[in-house]
Amino acid sequence: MDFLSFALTSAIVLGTPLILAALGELVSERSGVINLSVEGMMLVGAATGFVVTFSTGNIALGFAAAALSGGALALVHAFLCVGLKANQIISGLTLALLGAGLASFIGRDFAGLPIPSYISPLSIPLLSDIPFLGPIFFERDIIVYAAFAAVIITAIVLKRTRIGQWLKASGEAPAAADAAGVPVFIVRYTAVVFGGLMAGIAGAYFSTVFVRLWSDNLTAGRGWIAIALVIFASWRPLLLVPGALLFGFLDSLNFQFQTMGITVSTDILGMSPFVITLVALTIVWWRQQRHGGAGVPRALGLPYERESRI
Amino acid sequence: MSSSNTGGPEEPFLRAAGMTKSFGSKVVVDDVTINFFPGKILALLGENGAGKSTLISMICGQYRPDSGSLTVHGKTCTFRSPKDALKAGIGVVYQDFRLVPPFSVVENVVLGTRSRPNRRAAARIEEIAAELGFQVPTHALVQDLVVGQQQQVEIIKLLFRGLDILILDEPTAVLTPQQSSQLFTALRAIADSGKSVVFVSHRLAEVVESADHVTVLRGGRVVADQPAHGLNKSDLALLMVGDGIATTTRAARNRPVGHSVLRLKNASTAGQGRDVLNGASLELHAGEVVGVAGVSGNGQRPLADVVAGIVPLTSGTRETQEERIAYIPEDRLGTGLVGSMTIAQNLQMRDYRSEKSGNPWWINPKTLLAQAEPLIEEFHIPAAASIKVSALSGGGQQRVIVAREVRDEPRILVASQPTRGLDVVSSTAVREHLLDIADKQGAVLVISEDLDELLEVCDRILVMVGGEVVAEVPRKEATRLSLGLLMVGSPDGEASQ
Ligand SMILES: Nc1ncnc2c1ncn2[C@@H]1O[C@H](COP(=O)(O)OP(=O)(O)OP(=O)(O)O)[C@@H](O)[C@H]1O
Ligand SMILES: [Mg+2]
Repeated sequence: MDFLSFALTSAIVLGTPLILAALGELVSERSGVINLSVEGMMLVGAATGFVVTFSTGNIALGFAAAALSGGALALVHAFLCVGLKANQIISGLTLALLGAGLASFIGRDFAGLPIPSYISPLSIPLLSDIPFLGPIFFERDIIVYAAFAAVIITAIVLKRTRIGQWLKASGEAPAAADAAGVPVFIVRYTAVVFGGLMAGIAGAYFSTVFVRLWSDNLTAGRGWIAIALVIFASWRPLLLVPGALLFGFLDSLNFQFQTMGITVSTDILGMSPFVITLVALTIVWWRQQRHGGAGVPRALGLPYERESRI
Repeated sequence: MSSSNTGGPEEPFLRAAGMTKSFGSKVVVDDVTINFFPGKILALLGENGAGKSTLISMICGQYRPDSGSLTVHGKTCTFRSPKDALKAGIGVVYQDFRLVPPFSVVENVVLGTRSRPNRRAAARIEEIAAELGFQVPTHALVQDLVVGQQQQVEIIKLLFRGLDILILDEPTAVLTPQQSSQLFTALRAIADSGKSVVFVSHRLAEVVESADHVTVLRGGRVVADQPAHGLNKSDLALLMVGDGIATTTRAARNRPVGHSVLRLKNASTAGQGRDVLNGASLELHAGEVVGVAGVSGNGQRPLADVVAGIVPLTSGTRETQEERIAYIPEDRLGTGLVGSMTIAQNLQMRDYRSEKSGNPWWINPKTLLAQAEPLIEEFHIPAAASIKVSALSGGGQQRVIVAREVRDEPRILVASQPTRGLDVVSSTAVREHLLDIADKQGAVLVISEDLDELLEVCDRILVMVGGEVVAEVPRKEATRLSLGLLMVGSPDGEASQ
């Protein structure tokens, strides 16, 4: 495999967990709730997924457990922020730290143990025969396909369905949505928990499919990147894909340079996604400020209280 | 008023009995009983803070009443959410609209219903709009509509759902006189189709003209509940305030007009659309009150911002030596106040750098409260200094802004819609404050959609069209009609100058 196809392949593989986590965050934010604990939920998902897969030998069970654990953490966030109207930033940051600790605890006895590769690539007939691109895009595993499908489905749901309208209305103008009979609280709860499920799955993909190992702080900041991706994408699902692939690619350089014997400090490479995040954020934000329509849900971060004014 | 004379002992659509609601220790609505009848327009009146909006919120499921019972079409109901009230056929157009700005008109109308925002829905909306003489572009985004149109969307929203009790909280506060009369024509048509219409207003003239029945609240209790027939404006004012407090502003005095204090020449501001300045010129003199009339969205808002000095010009000049400029902005909670801060903090906001707040580095909460007390007294702010501004009624908030801006006797005062949403007594008080400033040789610029207000307090009135000052009329020569014509850019108006 030459460098380019290898790079593209790993961009997709490493981009997939980013897509999953960012998509969940996007849905949560469209409902008006910012969830900064994506990293924590990914870690909990990664640990739980690994432990369950290791113990049962059933990776489907591992993913289910990962989704549930991420969702459970998100439920706490929803309860605090939607139910009790607590500050979303504080709750999110706290849960991010709590999740990291919880994950270390869950995976304590499993650090460094290997698991076999349970998921094998699924090559799609015909499409995978396309020269060059075929093997890159269409000989991937089912989770990759599922992640891309989820992006498209979410885009359609947001644009075309009543649920999508409810979600957007809750994030843009919860008082208006409530007055129109939209169950704002239920919508927000559901959206936040959905974000948790997705982050849990993203974490499990990392631990059980990609590295097939558990170690503390395994996701190494990718949850934070996922939050930034939502901003690059201007809160639009389809735009998550190019961003996630770019970051997946940068991420993969780390591995590639090592295999190619190029000696770049891994610390510097490890920082590169975050540097790019800062640069890209500056550019995107600046553009959005100038051209308007930044796409930020207007009620993002604001609790909705029926009996209080404004 | 065809239906007002039929008044037999009909069954009310809705009966709210013994409604009570307190916030903290303050009873805001106290044992109120009110009936909404089919085919009738009911006006709900009361001073600022009388509890009108709170009562409405309880009827539509927004607030949970502490006690009281609702009977709709003969059935007792408890509403847990606005959704329950909608199901029972009750809809509200709130004082602050409840629309989703980035959604289109159709999307807003069908939100929360079983319909989809498709062509059928759009056709139905156009049908309803046509019946009422409304003009709303169904596929435009609500955020691009002017206030009058947004309100029409709100009304269409209720009719689209086939609701039969329509409640409008201060619907005309943001409308021009023309828009208001159009609204009342539409409301009458709606009532005549057998629905029950309720509206809140501080403009007593339109109440006299349009209501079949009036219910008056004072301090959270019903003090009058009677047919509107035979009532005039002063009867209503008396019912609201309970005694003979002055409700007309004193006749403006002949003040000597002093030197020029601010000059704006060919001023333009950045931005797109109609609501920008486009070569506007004006001059303010010490000791005069200058009014600005115009159809809303013709540059009044940027004019106020520019004169107040908070928005830069892209071309033209603004000359002034004065530094003590005060500003009562149009948008209360957006630019005027910080809703989540207390009354005392909001009152002090202009002085954070001056010695008046004591030490320039430290804020002493005790001094803050102590300084707020006399203002709360003088300007009749209906709450304690430590209460958050967002908990005040619309009128209460306006008083806080006015108190803060007026008390230091500014040299220039820009007042945008200074009495919007205020009851008669408070409006009179605010106008008095404006005149006081002029008496003390300050210059006052009043921007208002209420032509009667301008005619009452101003020495001369400017008319704005398309971001320019197109005419200037001395008060003695101005009439509602001549101003109205100038506002729509009619040559007749021009000729009458
Ligand atoms: N959520 C709330 N929290 C605390 N106090 C409140 C709340 N809602 C209303 N109040 C208080 O209840 C009183 C009545 O308010 P309400 O809005 O019903 O008055 P209103 O009659 O509609 O007045 P306005 O004409 O100014 O709109 C006010 O003194 C207000 O401060
Ligand atoms: Mg009110």
